Amino acid sequence: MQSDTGFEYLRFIGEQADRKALLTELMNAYGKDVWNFAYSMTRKWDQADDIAQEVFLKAYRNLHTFRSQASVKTWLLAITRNMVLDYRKQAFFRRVVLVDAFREDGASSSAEREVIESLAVNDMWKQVLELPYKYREVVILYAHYQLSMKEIAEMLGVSEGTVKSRLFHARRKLAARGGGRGDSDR
Amino acid sequence: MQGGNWRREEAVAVIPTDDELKRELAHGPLKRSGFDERLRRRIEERLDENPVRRPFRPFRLAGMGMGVCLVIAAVVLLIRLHPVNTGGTQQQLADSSGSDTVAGSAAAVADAEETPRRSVLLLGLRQDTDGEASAYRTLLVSGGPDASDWSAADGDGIIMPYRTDFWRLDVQEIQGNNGTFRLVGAYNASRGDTGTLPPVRAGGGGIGPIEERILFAGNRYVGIARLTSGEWTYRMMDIADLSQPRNVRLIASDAERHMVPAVQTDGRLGVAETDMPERLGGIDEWTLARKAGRWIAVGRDEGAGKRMENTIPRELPYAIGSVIVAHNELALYWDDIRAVQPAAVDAVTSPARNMAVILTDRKIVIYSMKNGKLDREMLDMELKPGETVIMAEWATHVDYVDEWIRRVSELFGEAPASRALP
Repeated sequence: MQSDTGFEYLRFIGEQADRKALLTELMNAYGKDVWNFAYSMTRKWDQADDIAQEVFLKAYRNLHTFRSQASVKTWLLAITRNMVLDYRKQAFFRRVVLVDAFREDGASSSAEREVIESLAVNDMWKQVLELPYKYREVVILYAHYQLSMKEIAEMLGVSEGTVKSRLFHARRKLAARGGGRGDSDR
Repeated sequence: MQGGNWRREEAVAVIPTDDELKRELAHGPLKRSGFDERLRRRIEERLDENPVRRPFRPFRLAGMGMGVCLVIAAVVLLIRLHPVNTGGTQQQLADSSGSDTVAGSAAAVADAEETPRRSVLLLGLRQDTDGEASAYRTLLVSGGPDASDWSAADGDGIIMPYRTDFWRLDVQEIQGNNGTFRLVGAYNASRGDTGTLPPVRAGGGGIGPIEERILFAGNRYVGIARLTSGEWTYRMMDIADLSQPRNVRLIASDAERHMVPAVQTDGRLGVAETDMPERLGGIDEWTLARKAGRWIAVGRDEGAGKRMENTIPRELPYAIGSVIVAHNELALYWDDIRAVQPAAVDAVTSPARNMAVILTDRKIVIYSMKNGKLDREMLDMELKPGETVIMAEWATHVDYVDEWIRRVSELFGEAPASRALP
């Protein structure tokens, strides 16, 4: 993961700063993180492209207003999360494919699954990408982006207890799918 | 048996530890990230734009200048149209995974002969939107050895080739006493004297809302999903029946004539009347669905009703006969498709193997093909949110290509009408 300390100066820049140069640096540092998060939560390549674009455009327009206590990475991930939620609300994913019309467990469509099957880096990611949305989110923010419980709670707008609970349930779901080698569930 | 400490390893659910999660998820989810130079450039190009919603992009020729919108030229050729028969070239279908194999043998792909002829595709699309009626449109795409052969246009509704004519399929909305009926209808659009969907007999009061959606259209059959009393049922209809006045009471009581699957003498799936002996026993509801670039048959057991274990349609283990789908071959490997379009969710290729149409969740991209491989990106257009393929009909014979282009482009200019008897 990229270190955030190199971007502390963002808190102090004025409106005259070279925003395009700053954006280039941000994209270099966090472009893949933003895209990966967007893809993980939407499971759609083109959707992830659009969301990543909107995230960096929004960051570009709001660079000089970044005064958040959060790190730049967390800031960008929070924007990404909000964009994903916006896209979900706009029902961009509505389609009736016969065999998918009955899926209510958050599992991906057959088309999405084929992309995941062929491109996922390992079985754990395959399992995580099949988790229901709210469990997938906490697992990825915790284990991949290594945010603290506090940071995740602030981003999601829930208590740390809720984050821990979702992580607990996510791990049990992964266990049920055969995604772990650690402690057994007795 | 070893005693009290013996564990059935296979029955224990193993919960991943923190370390294991962090280790396994250390890298991004995919072997390849989508945040590449292409996306970076796209972002940089938009930095000075005002923040507006993504605009609708007209059809354009890839690599030949932006903002060019082609209209199909009206070429007048009075040649009789015959259906394209590719049954003789069809190979055994690939295994159901479809992800790494092409439909047809590898030898067939390697020896593919792209004759210097043109291809025309009628691609039917359905768009589902929450709380609203589904919308339908048909894309007409043509391609060939010359750059001038490539063009595309679209029109509302489904225009389906049937025998020597073109039929229009659509869903009409009729207000009943107890709700709205959205029913599929058809009429022969090639006859100048009719321009309306068939009337619907509303059948008096007492019947709740009925909503139908088109799931498949091909040859002479139309797969329909029907929602009545909160339950979906799936029926395969003959287009001739859909062109006759429909009776809401018969529809609501599921007493309308429909087709059932039957296994032909060649072992492939065909259709039969409900009381024919060759019908596939046990399957009463069925239709066709898209999977890995080809059509598959899915069905539910007779009398499944509300029994949860039977409500999910299952793939029927039969190759589809040409009586239902004339061309059901994808002449490309999915690895090759995803190498150019990683987000591909569907694809079709011409029987002449000179055109491929790839769908992602946001766009339709048309390629020329050469030596069994994708060659050049020729056209791309926007796929509306929620659109899926419900029809893919091809013409490749020199006698019919221009005829299709001329006749369908004329039909694109006409709007369907509907009427209902009180």
